[in-house]
Amino acid sequence: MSYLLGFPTPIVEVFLTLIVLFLIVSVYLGMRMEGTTAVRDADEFTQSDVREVSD
Amino acid sequence: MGATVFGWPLQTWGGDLGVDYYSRTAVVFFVLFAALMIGIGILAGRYQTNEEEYFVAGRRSGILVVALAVFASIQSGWGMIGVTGTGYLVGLEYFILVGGLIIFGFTGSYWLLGRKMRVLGDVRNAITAPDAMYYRFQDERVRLLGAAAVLLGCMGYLAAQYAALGIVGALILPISFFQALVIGLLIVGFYTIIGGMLAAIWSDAVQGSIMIVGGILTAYYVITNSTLGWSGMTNAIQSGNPQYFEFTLLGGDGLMAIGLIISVIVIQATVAGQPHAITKFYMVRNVSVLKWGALITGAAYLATTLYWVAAPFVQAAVLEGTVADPGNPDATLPLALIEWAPDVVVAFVLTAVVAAIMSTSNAFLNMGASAVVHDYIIEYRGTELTQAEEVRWGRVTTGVLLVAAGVIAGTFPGLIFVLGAAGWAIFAAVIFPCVAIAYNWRGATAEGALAGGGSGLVLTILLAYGVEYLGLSLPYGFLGGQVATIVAVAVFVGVSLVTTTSEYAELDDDIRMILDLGRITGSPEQPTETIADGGSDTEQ
Repeated sequence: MSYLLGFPTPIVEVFLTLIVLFLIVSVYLGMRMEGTTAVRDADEFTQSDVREVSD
Repeated sequence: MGATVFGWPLQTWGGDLGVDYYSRTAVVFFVLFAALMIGIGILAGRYQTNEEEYFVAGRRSGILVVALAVFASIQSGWGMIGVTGTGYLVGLEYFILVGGLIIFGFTGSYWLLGRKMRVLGDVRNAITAPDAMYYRFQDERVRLLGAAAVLLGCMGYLAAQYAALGIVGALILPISFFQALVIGLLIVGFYTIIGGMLAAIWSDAVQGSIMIVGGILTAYYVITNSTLGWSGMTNAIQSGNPQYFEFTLLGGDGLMAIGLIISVIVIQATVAGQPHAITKFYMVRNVSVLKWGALITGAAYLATTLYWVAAPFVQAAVLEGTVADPGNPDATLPLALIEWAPDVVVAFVLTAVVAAIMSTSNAFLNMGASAVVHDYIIEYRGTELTQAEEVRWGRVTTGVLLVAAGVIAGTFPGLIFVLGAAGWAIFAAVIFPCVAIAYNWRGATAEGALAGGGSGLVLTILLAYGVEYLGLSLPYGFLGGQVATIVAVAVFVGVSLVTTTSEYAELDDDIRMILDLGRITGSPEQPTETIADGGSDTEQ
């Protein structure tokens, strides 16, 4: 039996499987991940500005 | 040469390469690269007005810069030259263990900590990993433990990186190891000291891009220019060294390899405990840009796995007798390039190796300095500094660490190995439980952090020293540093379960909000994901 790229073992298949899994997981994470509403203008802990984290 | 498992050296990086090479093109590339880094330092230096600018680049970076900086600070010269060398000796399965799993470590770190650390940076102006530890546990001893771990790990990594810088610099330039070490230190020192973290992440992005292009060029020329060709390579290895393509668990079949496999998984799983990666989350301009960070970081890392293509081709060429055995396995990549790539590509890739070394070292310089100035002097000792003094002390400390690491690199090679090999595990044993787990588990306590992190730190150093100097060998292929990480996490969880200080109920509202904040969705005001953790829930 011959495997991808002519290797005698499924070494490429194993590596590609891991890469595909990584792509699925990281794309899923990217599609689901949300920004957060502003935290600085509501907080009393710092006097820092409110420009950040307002997406 | 360091620790071996089943007779294979798992870390070969750091010895003399034993390769003769000189190219005027390489000198030109090196000079251009150095000028670019110095230019970045000068440009970034204009923004350095306070410690938030100096240590977290003003929290206004885009995801491309941050994601490439996470990748570039993790992928070091060892990942390009050392891994290629070990894979040349051990076989292709080694590359799968290293490259196929760490991409999930990147994804895991974005998932566990990306949103939480960015919001923590906002509500508490957190700058360092020990900051995150302190705010979670509200105990100065935990901050001190974190600062000690960061400083120790940084010094080890720095010294190892500078030894490598001297070796590769001496290969590119017609000068000695010591001269190359000094020139490299001057360049990396200049842009890091003057430009702070902003220069570090800008240069990381440039260096990361150079590393990616170098990987693509390496694979192309090795595959197309080697005399064997692809099928010649597979045939030569299959007839001369068939084990090279097989899954032998690095030569330790069956149960013998279980410790090694667990150790490798622990290494990849504890990316979220590496401060040079996770403190980058403080630096993005807002939370939503983290979305595609894991994908960019992992994809960039995968592009640099293309350097590893050199290993089977050199293995086949040596078996066929067309290329002399490289001797030192670290010479595998330079040898493949010199044999098969045009001069301009060899010069470019060697410059990329220097870029990898520098990009890793500037991250550690900045972190080591922040552990001393921010965590110890400003926060632990309570010293009042003006904004200008914060930047000045940051620069002075960065310079002192640079010189100290350079001296260690030039004079104490044994110490380099012990600390360099232990660096990842030192961070993992302390920061993984006390930040990555603690911000996702309400039941974590200060006693757990001190006991787990403290025992992990001590055990990591003892095992690294014992394996290197006392002939200590752990059963089933376990690696010392990762045993220490497992012990640290177990002690952390065990002690946390029977103690109560700094549990969720005792925390300030803003820190409880971060613990409640979902890893993927939800906002600080309306967390949509409650963390199932078995911790106390009486305080809602």
